[in-house]
Amino acid sequence: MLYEYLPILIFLALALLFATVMLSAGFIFGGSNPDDEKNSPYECGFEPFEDSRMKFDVRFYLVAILFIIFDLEIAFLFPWAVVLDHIGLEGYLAMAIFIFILLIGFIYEWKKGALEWD
Amino acid sequence: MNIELITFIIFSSLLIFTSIKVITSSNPVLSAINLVFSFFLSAVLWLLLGAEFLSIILILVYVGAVMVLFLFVVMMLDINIAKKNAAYIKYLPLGIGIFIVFNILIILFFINTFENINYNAISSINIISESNTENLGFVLFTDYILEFEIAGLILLLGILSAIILTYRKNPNNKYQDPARQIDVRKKDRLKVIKGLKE
Amino acid sequence: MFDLFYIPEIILSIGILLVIVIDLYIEKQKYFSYLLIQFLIILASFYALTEVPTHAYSSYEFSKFTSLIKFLLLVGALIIFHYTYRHLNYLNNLKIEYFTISVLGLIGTMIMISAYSLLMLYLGIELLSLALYALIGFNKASKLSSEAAIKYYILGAMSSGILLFGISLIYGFTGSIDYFEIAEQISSVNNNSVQFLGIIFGMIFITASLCFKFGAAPFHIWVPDIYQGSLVSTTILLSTLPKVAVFVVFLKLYFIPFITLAFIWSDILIFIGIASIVIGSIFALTQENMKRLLAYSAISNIGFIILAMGLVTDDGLNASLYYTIVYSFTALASFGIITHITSNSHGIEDISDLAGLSKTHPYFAILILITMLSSAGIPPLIGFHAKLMVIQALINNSYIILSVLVVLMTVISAYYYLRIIKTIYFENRENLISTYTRNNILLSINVILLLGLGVFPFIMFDITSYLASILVDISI
Repeated sequence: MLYEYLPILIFLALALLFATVMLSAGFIFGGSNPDDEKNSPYECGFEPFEDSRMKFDVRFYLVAILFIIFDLEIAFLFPWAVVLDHIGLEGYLAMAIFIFILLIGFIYEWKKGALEWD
Repeated sequence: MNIELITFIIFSSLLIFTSIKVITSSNPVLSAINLVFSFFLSAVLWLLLGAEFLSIILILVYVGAVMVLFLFVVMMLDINIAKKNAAYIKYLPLGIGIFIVFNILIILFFINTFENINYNAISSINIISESNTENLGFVLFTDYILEFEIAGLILLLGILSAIILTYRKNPNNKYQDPARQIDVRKKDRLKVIKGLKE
Repeated sequence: MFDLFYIPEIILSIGILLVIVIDLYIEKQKYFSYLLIQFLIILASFYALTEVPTHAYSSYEFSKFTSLIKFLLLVGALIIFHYTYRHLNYLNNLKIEYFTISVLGLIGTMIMISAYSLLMLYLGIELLSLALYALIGFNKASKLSSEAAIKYYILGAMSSGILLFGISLIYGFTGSIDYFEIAEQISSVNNNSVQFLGIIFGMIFITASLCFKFGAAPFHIWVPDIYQGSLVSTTILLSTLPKVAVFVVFLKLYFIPFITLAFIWSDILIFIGIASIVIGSIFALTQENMKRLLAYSAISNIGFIILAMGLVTDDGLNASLYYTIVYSFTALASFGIITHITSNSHGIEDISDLAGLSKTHPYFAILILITMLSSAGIPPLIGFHAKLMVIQALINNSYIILSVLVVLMTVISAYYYLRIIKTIYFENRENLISTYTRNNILLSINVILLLGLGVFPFIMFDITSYLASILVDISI
């Protein structure tokens, strides 16, 4: 079984090698002559007003957490789809109920307006 | 030495390295990136154990979704560099002590037991095929249906509490409702006022 | 599995899904949704009392014992929601989600009670804890509430991790997550093998995590902060339903899978019990905040329950069952009273906020008087019998020194209960105490029962011995 994944391992090793070679080549052969002005962020010629990091709205977080929940639903769908012909009607109905429960959650967030960005 | 062992050693030592970086690096974004790496590396370890499905899920759910959440939280809190404050140093010896005790325990168990343990202890699992994903699905949707539905309820509760704790509706927002816009007839908007005849 | 529509969990689950959707469409009529939820709970408690399914699902228990405990939980939830609705309405913080989340948590407690496998137990605990995280943080206007939610969330997540670690050790060394199979495996393991050591470590990890959820002494640090930070209505919920559920989990875990390890866990539980009683009684002395004080009192009460269970005898078991029911009953009354009163137009925070209550609201003053006397263990009240049973069980099993210590701690704890009474009756301060109702029939019944069942203790003895007798049917 594991040998089916060997190409991925080789691919990973090659990618790592390639990236290292590229980066180190740039680092070794490229000239580097830093000073304060070059290192500071360019902001239309002004002195930077503030840090480039800023507080994110909590709504990003809400969207991300709602995404995770439906992502997990998909995670359950994978093994279900694979064994659908072994688990019979009970297994089918089990997934139907599961999706129904999450559907209620989806209706809730839609009606509440949690999906709207305004 | 076969290739599996070599892969295991490489990836597990990288995993230890990145896990240490997660807790020691002072920049939270770097910690999060290192956490991504350690999830990825542990996915490879699971793959080596033959748990294909779980390793894919680890990458899909954790690297794909949970890490996004982590980064959002890090950005939301707006911490640039966490300072190593006095408490960090104060609790460090305790932490190291717990670490050593835990590790001695774990090593003790695992060195001694896995040579003597009865491997057939885990017996009551129905196996239908070679594939890990199929076995997992079969057990989940036959023996563990009730547990599966409860997981659904937990996810629903997650939705409810995330919305109740973070969402605030702004009453000043104005919306367009396309259905109503399309539904408009001429008589709704146009009012013909007959002029008074003198 | 599809022939189980009459068990209370399923009724509540289906019903709560409907309520979530219905409430979206009638957002203005909150009272209707609230009534719908109350109706659901009544329906579920009716079925919990009348129907005991005979269906066998390997990881889920259907028995008279669990049905009765579920019935008690449902009645408790009914009363709590009754207080909560008025309390939240009064604070202008009423949202139906508060009730839907609570009901989902209630389903979690029922799953914990019925669990016959460690996986089911974990899922129940997660469902309950997730609900509690949201409920504790519900009061978004208060900083303390958010702080409490974050504290409880981080500590709770860690304790869940410890629980999972324990479960995986048990699974690794016995090869099963089913209670009965674990029991079988443990009894066949050689006492000197490493496997046995591993099982013990797994059990200790599980114990630690459950003691955290219980709020017992070495793991009690979260209790006062969380009790203080959350709304009073959340505090009632927190101090009654999960405690009963965790108590039943303790009972089932220790008396089914870990019964052959009794010589180990008995000492652990006795230590935890004594530590809880001592810490709960002594730290409560200096508290000025009412909710913190009741939190420490809860810790010491939990100590009594765990101590009695640690004796591993019939009378210890009886005493702990009795104590659990009495404790949740008293907590229901004492926090229930606090939900009704506000002082200087905010909720009761400090004990001094209650000064002068006897002049303005003699009805509530008497209720608090009876409840506090019962908590202190003054003879004709029910709290006395509960403490007496535990101490009797201790003496019967010749733990004389421990029983002296417990009596000493009871005397110390009487001091702070009496201090509340003193504040109410003998202190006068400029407080604008107000209540949103002159009296509450349910609350009165609750408090009168504390007195009545104390005068006629045999009713409660019969109920507990009945519970204990049907418990014997399920244990091996």
